[in-house]
Amino acid sequence: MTASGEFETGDANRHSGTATGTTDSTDDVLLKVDGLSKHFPVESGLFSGLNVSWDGRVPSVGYGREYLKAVDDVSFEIRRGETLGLVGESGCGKSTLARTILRLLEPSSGSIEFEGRDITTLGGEDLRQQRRNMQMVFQDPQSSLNPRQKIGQIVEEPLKTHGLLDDEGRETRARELLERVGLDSDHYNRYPHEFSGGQRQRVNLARALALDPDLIICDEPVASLDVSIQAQVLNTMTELQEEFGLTYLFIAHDLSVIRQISDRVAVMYLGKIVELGNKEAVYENPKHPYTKALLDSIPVPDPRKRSERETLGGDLPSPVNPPSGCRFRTRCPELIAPDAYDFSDAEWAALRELIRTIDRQLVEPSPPEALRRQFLNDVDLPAAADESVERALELFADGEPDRAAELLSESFVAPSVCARDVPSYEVDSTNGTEARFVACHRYAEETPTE
Amino acid sequence: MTQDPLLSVQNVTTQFVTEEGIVRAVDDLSFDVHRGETLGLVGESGAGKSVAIRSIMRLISSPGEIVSGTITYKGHVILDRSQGPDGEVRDGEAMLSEAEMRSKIRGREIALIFQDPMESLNPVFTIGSQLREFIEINRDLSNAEAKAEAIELLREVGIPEAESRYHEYPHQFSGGMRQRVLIAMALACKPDLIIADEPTTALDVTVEGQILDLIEQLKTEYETSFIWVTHDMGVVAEICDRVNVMYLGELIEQAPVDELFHETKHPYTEALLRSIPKPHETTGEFDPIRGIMPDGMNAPSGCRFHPRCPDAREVCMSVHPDLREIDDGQNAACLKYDVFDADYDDSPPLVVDENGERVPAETVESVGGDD
Ligand SMILES: Nc1ncnc2c1ncn2[C@@H]1O[C@H](COP(=O)(O)OP(=O)(O)OP(=O)(O)O)[C@@H](O)[C@H]1O
Ligand code: SF4
Ligand code: SF4
Ligand SMILES: [Mg+2]
Repeated sequence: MTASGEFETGDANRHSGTATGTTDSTDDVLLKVDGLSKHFPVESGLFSGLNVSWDGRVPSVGYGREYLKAVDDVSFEIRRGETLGLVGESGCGKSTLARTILRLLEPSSGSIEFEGRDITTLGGEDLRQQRRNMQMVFQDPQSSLNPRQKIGQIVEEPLKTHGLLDDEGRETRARELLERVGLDSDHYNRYPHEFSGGQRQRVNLARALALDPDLIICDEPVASLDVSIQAQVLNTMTELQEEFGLTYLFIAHDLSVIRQISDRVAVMYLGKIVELGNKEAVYENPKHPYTKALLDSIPVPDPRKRSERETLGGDLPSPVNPPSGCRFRTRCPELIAPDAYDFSDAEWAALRELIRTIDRQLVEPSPPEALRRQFLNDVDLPAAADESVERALELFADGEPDRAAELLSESFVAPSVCARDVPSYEVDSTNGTEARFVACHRYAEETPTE
Repeated sequence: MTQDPLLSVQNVTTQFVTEEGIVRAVDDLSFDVHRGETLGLVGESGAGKSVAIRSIMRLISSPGEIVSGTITYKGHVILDRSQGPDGEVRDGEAMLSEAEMRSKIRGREIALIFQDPMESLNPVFTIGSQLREFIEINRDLSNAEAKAEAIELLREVGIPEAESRYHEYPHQFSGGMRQRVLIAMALACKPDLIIADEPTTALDVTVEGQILDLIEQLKTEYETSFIWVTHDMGVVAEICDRVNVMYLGELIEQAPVDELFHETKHPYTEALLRSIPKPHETTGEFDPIRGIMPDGMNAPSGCRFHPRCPDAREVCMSVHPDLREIDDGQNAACLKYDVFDADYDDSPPLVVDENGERVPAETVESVGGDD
């Protein structure tokens, strides 16, 4: 047995996808995810008393049940042989998305197609067969390896589960795989604790390759490794991709790693993809304000470029009551001014800073004049707007910060398109012909998707 | 800098006795921290960074032991220990007792911030009560005064709605907010030195940015000095004035931050800088450091970096380089520099064997078919 391509899997599903009547343009699509959501039921906010909805909205389902929208209406495709990088901060739903695609979690809605075949509701033996084509590599190489099993057993396990090859065949295959991932075939009889973190992650790669899958979903595969070891493992992953014709969904929070490994990149925020496009285009010309903020906040490894870092303020809102409209709006530095007032850029910027400060109560209660001096010194707000501001400042001075924040939010944030509509647009990429998905109303002049 | 250093660490060695032998987790460590400066302590996992700072705080417990060295801080002798020929350690008379370390130094003069805030916060008490109690104990304030101070500190470190958040529990705070609470606690006694052990490593990049801004702001406000332990060269470039690079328990390069990045002296620092994936350019390939970090038990002979060093020569296998000044204010432990007078130039280069390690040219042939 030589390269993986010749490995006899005896899998009836394997090539069926290409036989279905897919159109030319989707021919090379390996995985298609459409409107996929995963919502987890949580204790009702009414009882826990913690999640009071600011918008005063009622929970969408009866019986006081609330849902944590870990993944919400996500769509994308991965083409055969490419690496799609999925990047986003902790808790944005990356792992949940990965597990839902692998059907380790049941989707709440939406569909998953693999090689043109709908696998959303696949069950039993069909699902088991399907999983052979989709393997996963996890972040923590320690806990994903059974310490009592030898490396050889670990790598052979998937073959055994699927009843493939005889003992001898499995051993040959396992030894060969160990060599391919940069280990030694003699490591076959060793135990995981004898290996370093980087080597253990290679064992995981060998195991993932055992069934010769088409797609490997890697969830933070190098996050727990030192940089120098990270680079070694990433190089191996790139080599394996070429050799085995693999397709990767590569999940990471590290933008530098994603940049080096991906062909296309999807950026996720609070359960939604906010931008998706060609890697170079997204990094060189980010469009979504969140993508920009992410890229700007990386400390550059060069002390001469210190001033280039910028900071995104605010905290991640709760995925149980995500903000209406655009989920990024509570932190967005480019929030669109409401049409009702005719704010200049400077006025709107100053007002937003004031709203943010009061909303987060970052200052002690202070007289209206003091806050005006601090925030609105250089601007002359339109009269109608000024009236609301004055009332809010008085409330704040009177020790009613919540009501002050509510008033400002009602007057200036709620009427913004960013709070009213969920953004979803196709934008022409400037770096090529490929269209880019951007979930931001700043790109409303382009065609909305759907 | 003409002033006396705030903290001076001289020849500190800390070892761990294990079943398999003795590991020198920190070996002959020396450095100064000056007033108002942020000193970076950099290295990969296993380099000895955390043991180094725990040694400064005298927080090493069995099976670990500080076996020698002196540490002075603003006239206090934190450590003055030597090892006699019998292996017994002897402490100097002026060295602070454990009780004095607790009452005078830790938390009050030198504060410590850890990577995982949950280690330092008790999950069953509210954030506010923990902060208030800390202030009450360490500063002579009444309960009410301490509470007011605690709220003020929470606001200062950017906790939104500080007054109501005061009554919440650690699990109700995000990772970034917990780290802010620890910073507030560290600031409570207005210490002159804060030692932070990977304080932003577990945080997301936007949250890390917020914390770095906060530190920057506090530095100007309080003129606090920092020792910042990290493995992230981006963070180093961002906030450090000078940097110490550690490899396998030893300092191998010491330099002002600009020189460290732009006039790198030590081959390990160079390799480390090359291996980081760049966020702002696509390099296509990664350039890893070859081989793996050996464990402390089996530290290589001579220069400890020689099995992985692209510049390694045979002399590097037997001669151990100490840290020497190579350029103004820049020290490195590498035999290729003339100050070491080690005949490096005439020594034959090592070659890479099948494990990716550097060995003498002859051994590769003779080892040949062997495992
Ligand atoms: N089984 C579950 N039940 C309830 N909530 C869950 C469950 N699994 C995940 N969540 C929630 O779903 C959201 C997304 O979590 P997920 O683990 O997918 O994020 P992530 O992007 O992978 O984060 P990280 O970068 O930290 O790994 C979070 O708010 C998380 O708390
Ligand atoms: S839609 Fe509005 S709030 Fe959302 S990212 Fe765009 S400008 Fe910002
Ligand atoms: S002493 Fe030799 S092995 Fe060590 S860093 Fe210098 S050149 Fe490399
Ligand atoms: Mg995850």
